[in-house]
Amino acid sequence: MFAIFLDSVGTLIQNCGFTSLSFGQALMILVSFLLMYLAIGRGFEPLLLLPIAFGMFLTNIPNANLYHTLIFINETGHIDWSLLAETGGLLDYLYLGVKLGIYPPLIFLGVGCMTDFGPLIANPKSFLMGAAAQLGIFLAFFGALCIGFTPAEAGSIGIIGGADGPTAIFTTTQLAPHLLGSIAVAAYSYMALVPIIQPPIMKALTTKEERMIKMEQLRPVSKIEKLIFPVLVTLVVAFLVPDTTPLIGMLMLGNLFKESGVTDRLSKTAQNELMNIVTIFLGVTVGATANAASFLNLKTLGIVAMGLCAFAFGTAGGVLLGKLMCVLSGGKINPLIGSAGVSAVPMAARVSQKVGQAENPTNFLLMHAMGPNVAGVIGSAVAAGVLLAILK
Amino acid sequence: MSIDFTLAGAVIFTGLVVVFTALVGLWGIVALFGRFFSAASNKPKPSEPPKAAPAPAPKPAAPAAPAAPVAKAAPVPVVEDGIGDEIVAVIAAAVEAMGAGESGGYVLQSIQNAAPVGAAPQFQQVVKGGRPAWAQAGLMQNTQPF
Repeated sequence: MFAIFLDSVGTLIQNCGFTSLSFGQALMILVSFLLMYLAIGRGFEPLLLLPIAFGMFLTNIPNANLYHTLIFINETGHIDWSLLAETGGLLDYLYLGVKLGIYPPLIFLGVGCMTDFGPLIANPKSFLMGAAAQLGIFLAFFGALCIGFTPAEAGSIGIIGGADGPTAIFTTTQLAPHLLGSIAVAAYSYMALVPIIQPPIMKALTTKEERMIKMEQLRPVSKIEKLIFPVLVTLVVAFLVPDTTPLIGMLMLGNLFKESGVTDRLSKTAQNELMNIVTIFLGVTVGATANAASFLNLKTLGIVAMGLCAFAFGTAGGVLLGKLMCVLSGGKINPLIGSAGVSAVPMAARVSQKVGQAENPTNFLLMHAMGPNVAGVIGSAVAAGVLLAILK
Repeated sequence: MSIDFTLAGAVIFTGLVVVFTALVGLWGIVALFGRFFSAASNKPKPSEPPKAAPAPAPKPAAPAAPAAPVAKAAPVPVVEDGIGDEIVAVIAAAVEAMGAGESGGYVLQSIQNAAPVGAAPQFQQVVKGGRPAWAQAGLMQNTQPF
């Protein structure tokens, strides 16, 4: 009996995490703790960063077998269903929603329910700033190519500049799934850092007089316009770039739920319960892809560097177009609202408001900045569709 | 490391062109339908003036309509001394609200205190007897059929 006890203890010790922990796993667990601190202690995008961090923590626990990279990333390029049936863990099954492209569009459904496109409809010129802010995506794509990434990987890295988590995840799962963990962490970290990254660029590219410009009040938008808008955008964008239909379609369906006024229950469910559930699944499983082998390498550093460039160039693109529009409109447009074109709703719009109000305390740019902000969401989805169409 | 500049250029150029085309197209369409709806909402509707007028205007415009009551209402009611203009306005508005503009409506002919000094002794008696004017009116209404 004592021999059996010793055997059992021996097996337990052999299988326990403390004895089989590798250096890489230990380091990744420390990284996950750092991310947890940033989410809880510093409030950096906690709704997503916390599940991502905990998913990263779980996946790096030795012998827990919650997530198996080989099921999703293998020579065939497809999901290994037999391996999933044999060895699949909890996070493997939940990850199917990411791999099959289900979670990001569902998040967009909720985002659509929460988004008011009124400022964009009232001032449709904002579309231009939303387009210009996508410059960062393509410049970061080029930068990533230059430092040795493949075109598909570079496309996934570039999309970080769209400052849109679901879009970045949706694109990366199709172009470079092996980089998903690093790209998701970089994208959400930079989105949380928008108030730190953007203001110096905005100030460097604008004069004090430009930052002080007060904009005219937006016209009221009728209900019929708000009803037509989601259908119209889906029609134009999905027909032009069909690859982006899952994102744009769900975004606009959510918005139609909101604006129709007859589907309150659906709207509330999509923006609350459904979105929260999907956010948990998405966050934990994306974090689970960040294991030591895929995260602790030079590529991650490259992703972090290019992601920053993407954000910076995107902000610059939006502000520079804002300056051009300011000149063309005879000084009626404050170029600061252009920076909100990078998406990151509504953080980027708040940054425009804050920087503008710092120069002129009576200036209220928030509603004006919401136009380019939501245009940026549409713009980054279109950019993602282009990248998918060319690089997939 | 070799970069495929042709592919890179194609992706960047195509990407920017498509993004701008899509969003400029949306700008144009949204601006167009915005103008259309703004114009539609600002355009004075043909049915609007007559429709807007009836609410406040039928009363002043009432003289043209069922002539009879308003023709009678046109003369300024006799107002007892000591009753302020505001009281007169309130009573006039109340009478109007009861349908002065309609045929068979009420006409405000005079305004006086319910128990004026020097009124008929029996009237004063009623008031003095402790039954207020409204109670008296109610009593009259209920007992009139008998």
